[in-house]
Amino acid sequence: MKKVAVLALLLASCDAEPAYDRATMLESLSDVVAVPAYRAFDAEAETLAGATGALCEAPSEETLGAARDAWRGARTAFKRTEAFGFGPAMERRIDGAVDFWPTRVTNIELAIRDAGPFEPAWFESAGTSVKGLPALEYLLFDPAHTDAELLARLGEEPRRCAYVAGLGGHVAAQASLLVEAWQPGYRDMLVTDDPHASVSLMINHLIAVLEDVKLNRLSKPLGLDGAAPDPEAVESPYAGHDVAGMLATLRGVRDAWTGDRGGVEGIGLDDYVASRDPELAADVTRRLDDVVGLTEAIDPPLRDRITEGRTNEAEQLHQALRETQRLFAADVAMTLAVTVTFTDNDGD
Amino acid sequence: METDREVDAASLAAFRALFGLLMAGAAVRFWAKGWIGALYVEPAFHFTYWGFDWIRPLPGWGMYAVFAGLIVTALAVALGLLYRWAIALFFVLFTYVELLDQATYLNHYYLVSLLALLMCFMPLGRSFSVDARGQGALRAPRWCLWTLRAQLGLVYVLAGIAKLNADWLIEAEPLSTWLAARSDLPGLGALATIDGFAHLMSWGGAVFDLTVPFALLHRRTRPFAYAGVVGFHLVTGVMFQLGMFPWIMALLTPIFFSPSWPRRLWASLPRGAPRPSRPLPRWGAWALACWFAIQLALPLRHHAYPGQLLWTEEGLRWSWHVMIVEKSGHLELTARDRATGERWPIDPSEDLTFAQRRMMATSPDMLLRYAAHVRERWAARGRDVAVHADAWVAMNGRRSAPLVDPEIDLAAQPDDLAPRAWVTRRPAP
Repeated sequence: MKKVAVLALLLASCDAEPAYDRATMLESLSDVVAVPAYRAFDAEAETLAGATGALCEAPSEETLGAARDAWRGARTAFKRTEAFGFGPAMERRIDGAVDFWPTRVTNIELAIRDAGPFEPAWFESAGTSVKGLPALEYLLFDPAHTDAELLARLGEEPRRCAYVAGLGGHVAAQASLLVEAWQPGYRDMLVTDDPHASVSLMINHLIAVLEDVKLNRLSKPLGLDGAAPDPEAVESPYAGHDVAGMLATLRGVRDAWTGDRGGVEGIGLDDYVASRDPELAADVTRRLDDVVGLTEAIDPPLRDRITEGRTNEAEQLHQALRETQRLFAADVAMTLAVTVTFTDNDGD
Repeated sequence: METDREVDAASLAAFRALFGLLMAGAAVRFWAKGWIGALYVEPAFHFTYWGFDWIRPLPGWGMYAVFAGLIVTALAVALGLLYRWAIALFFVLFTYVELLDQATYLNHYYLVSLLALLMCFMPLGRSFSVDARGQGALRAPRWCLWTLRAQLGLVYVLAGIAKLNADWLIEAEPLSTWLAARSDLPGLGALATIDGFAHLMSWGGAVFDLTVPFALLHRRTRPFAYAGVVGFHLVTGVMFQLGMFPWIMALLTPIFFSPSWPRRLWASLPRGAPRPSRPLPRWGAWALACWFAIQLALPLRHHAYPGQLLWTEEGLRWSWHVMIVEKSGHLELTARDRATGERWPIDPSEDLTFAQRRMMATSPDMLLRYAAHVRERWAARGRDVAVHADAWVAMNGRRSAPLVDPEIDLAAQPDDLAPRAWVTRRPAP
């Protein structure tokens, strides 16, 4: 008994450092970064739905231009949410419905010819290869046709026209679903359920996003995967939105790391890591700034730079992504004890 | 009840029953969580153990049949029904499953295999069992009791010795990192934030492991020691999600109590006329001596390898280095055509699960096995390839450092027990 009392006294005499408040960090990340990012996508997707509807009603240079601008806006906004894609976007397979690529042109043309009617219910049940932003990109930007030809096809083919309008509406519906799922449901679950598990989920997802950019959007088109360079393997080959898409994704990763967005300062993963290892937190921030800067330095579209053999900046970005991914997967993961035991909850 | 050679069979029977029930529960839990499919059926590649390459998972339903067999045999062991057959079959099935993939290695499952093998040679079905039908022996050989005690005691003591290193005692790592990560647990989390608590836990854990088997043996210290066992495993189980491990240790350590301890709980246990058991033959005594010599040598073999054990992992498995390392790694594999010099990245996600990839990223052993697999895969397509790894690992609070020499062709390295020159010897300072 005496020993227990002595131990209790010893413990009581020690200073207690306040634990890093991960719930507050997750709350801030949700409210300052994730939910506003999904709201921004929702707004852009609404604009896209309106623009594709207007294009179908009155195909013209103006409405085509507006639809293309709206498509770029929606895609940029969606890519900026990818850092939070572990939530409802993945669980409800919305990410596939919005952004499945590479584009399957044959499937899309077959759907236009044989399927329909292109009501919301049809898009709900349709496979991912015939819907989402990449399908719409093909129909709005297909470089095999001039603008006049694209407009003529829309005017002369009511099914094609309805398909374009339906695609825009479906993307908007998915965006609304994401906003509804995040607030309050998923946001609250993320904050309150198990903060450590939430942080693990986030870190693992950020590593996967960096891997996706490095491997699928850079290695393959640049020919760093052992095959010959393939300009057509870039993401978004029709609209030439390859660099813009990568930039939005990587800015989204930086948002999730810093917890800041749109001029609003929040609490991010960097603050949490800094509470354990300030030097590491600063290293990762610096590296993410480099990655964003290197992406901005690529003269878009990447497809053309690969064709010309001017890929120096893209290769530098590839190398910087490797090093950033390493920092996350080894150093950050160890510092926050984000490890995976052989199953989800077993280890010794 | 006791003689020089024999003891009351009650505690050994309780050990048998608890072991069987725990194992049946573990197998049911494994099945219910979908781990049979996830770990043994779905992966296209398995990291077999050195010397056991021939052990492969059964296709499809076969692995489910194995687990059904584990449940049935474990329950039969608990009941003492066809005990010898049941425990022998349980040992074979359990060890088969454990040898399928290094990625699923757990220290406590290794302990289960060891205990099951020892139990194959013990007459634990002669008392308080269906086999005995109420007529069983109420005494059991003393060597059985002490063998099980020694086996469990060794685990604690060797786990304690493994903690006597600078990371654990001076830096309080990895506990410091782990406690920070669990600081929001109700109640326990508040303790984790106390300055010095990680050091207290580290030192306390080492002292606990080194002394608890002895404290459990003595009547005066036993209540405190067992309360410590239950408390220690409860706390670590809640904080670190250790699955069956806390249950196994908390429910099997009463073997250190008086051999009659179950009678204090169930006064109605039969006390009829004992049937003498056969003495331990001379060969049995020698076999036990060899067994424990191996049980001491195997966990200490890492001293024969240069460098830091937790980093190189040479001699790490089967050595009771339990919960003393936090590692994360990042791995990039490259294939190089030996004829043309052409290089390309290897994507392990093509045939490894996420968990397998994460384990391989920090384990040179597994890297070597996978490199051999990559070489064979490309050889089947008519290309002779070398395999290189750019592997960075962060360990116990240190920044990441290269784990292997990236210039070395891993596919050309011998897969033997010698120290591996291509593995760096120590983590970053």
